[in-house]
Formats: sequence, structure tokens, C-alpha cells
Amino acid sequence: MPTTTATVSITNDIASVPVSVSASFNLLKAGSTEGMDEMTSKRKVFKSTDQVDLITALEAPGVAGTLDAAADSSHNFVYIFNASTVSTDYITVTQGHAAGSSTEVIVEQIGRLYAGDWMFIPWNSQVTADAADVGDICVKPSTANEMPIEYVLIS
Amino acid sequence: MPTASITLTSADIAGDPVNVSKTSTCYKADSTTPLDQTNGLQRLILTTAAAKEIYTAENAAASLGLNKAAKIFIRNASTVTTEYITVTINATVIGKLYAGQWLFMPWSQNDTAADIKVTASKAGVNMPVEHMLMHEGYFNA
Repeated sequence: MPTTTATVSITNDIASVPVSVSASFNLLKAGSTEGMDEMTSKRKVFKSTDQVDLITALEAPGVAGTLDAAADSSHNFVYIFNASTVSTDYITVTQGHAAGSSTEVIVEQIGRLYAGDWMFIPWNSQVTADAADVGDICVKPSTANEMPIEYVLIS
Repeated sequence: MPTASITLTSADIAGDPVNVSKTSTCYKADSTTPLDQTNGLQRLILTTAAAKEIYTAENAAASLGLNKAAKIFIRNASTVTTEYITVTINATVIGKLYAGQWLFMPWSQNDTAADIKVTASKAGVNMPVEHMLMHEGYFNA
């Protein structure tokens, strides 16, 4: 059983009394003590301001290509890093669906990652019956200049 | 300056070891000026399975939270393996945090109801949740 560990350290010295947070956990399958055992890691360079699917909901194990009941049990973690070095370049991370050949769908915007920013979230990869595949993790670059993005999906 | 670091390591999830390590400084949007406001680290106990709003989106104007930089940390501090919280923005489920698990993410507050909520997996237990917000912009109250 693989052991994968995620550790965060946050130094918050905004207020006059600083706060430091450090937390660590092993990535386990939903409600179990068994370690997550699937991983995808990629680096992509985008050169468009189109919203694109970074990870489609159907890629996540447990979804079985269909509906909520299966997706509800799908438990994954996603790490995304904006590897740009231009401080004003950002990607907007959303749950939704890419423009592609159809209509861009934004179910909910999560937030922006500027150059050097990272995020790490759990992800249900939820797929809905009436709008299949709208639970994708999407990114929309702020510029058509080259923007490198790195991500890891662990399931 | 406020900073956030992550390490993601595994010796055996793949044929070669995985070791991701990044540190970022938490800046304001389009800027190299650090974030200057925070709610500090907070801890609450969820005792029901009702959604609990922990952060309210301030999206009425750009001077508030709209498309400003904000960083959120949430941790399920339970020690019971099967207990989880569901984290949502507006009505959209981001994912579940089981005991001991945490998230760190940006928050744009661009939606008219982009509040951050946590919901315990079951009622009748004391499920501790820790959370912290670092941000810019101004709050109405």
C-alpha cells in the first residue's frame, strides 16, 4: 500500500502576533486506512486565454464514467502550481467544462493562482446527470503568452 | 511576509520517488505587495450535519473581495478516520476532507454567493475544524 504524505507550513505574520501552522497527513482512500494508489503528474504550457480542462472528471477513478452516486465516492487530491515567473500572470481555476467545441461552462470559480502560487484541494470529481462532465478542474490563463502549469492528481 | 509551503512525498506510489516541494509568498493580486489582512487561525466544533458558513464572499465591488487575492486553509481536526467534512463554494462541492486532511486554495469571491461552507458528515459528534483566511480588500462589516 503506497504511502503519500502531504505537509503544509503556513507562516502568517500579517498581524502583530504571527501565527504558524504546520499540518501533515497521509493520503488515504475515502474513509479507510488504505493509501491512495494512483497518480498523474503533468506539466503543460498554455498559450491561449481559453478555458481548458486541466483534469476531466471522468479521469478520476471511482467515477466510472457516469453519475453522482459513483462520483460521490470518488475522493482525490489535486495539486496545481503556476510555474510562470511573470508576477502578473495568473490562471483562474474553476470547476466546470472547457470551451472546446462546445460552450464554456463555469460551475464555480475557485480562485486565481498567480506566478509561483500553488493550491492543494480534495476533489470529488462530481459529474451531474443533466450536464455531464461539468465537474472538471479547468484553468483559464490571463494571457496568451506562454504559461507553464504543473499539476498532480492523486486518487 | 506571509508564506505557504507544501511538500508532497511518496517513496512508493510510483516506480520512482515523488517529491514535490514549493513555497509561495502570499501577495495581493497583480502585485508583489504581501497580503495585509487575516482572520487568524480559528477552530470550531461542528455538532450537526448542517452547512456552516465560515467565510462570506464580499463581491459587491472591486474594493471588497471581488477578484482580490485571498488564501484559505481548512483542516478537519477529527481523529476518527471515517468522519469527514464537505467543503463547498456557493453550492458547488469542492471535495471532502477526512480526519486530519487539509486544503489550501485561492478564493476569488467572484460569484454572488461564493461563500465558503463546511458540512460535517454526521450529526451528534463533535467534529473540530480549523481554518484561516489571509486576504486583501475590505469587508463591509
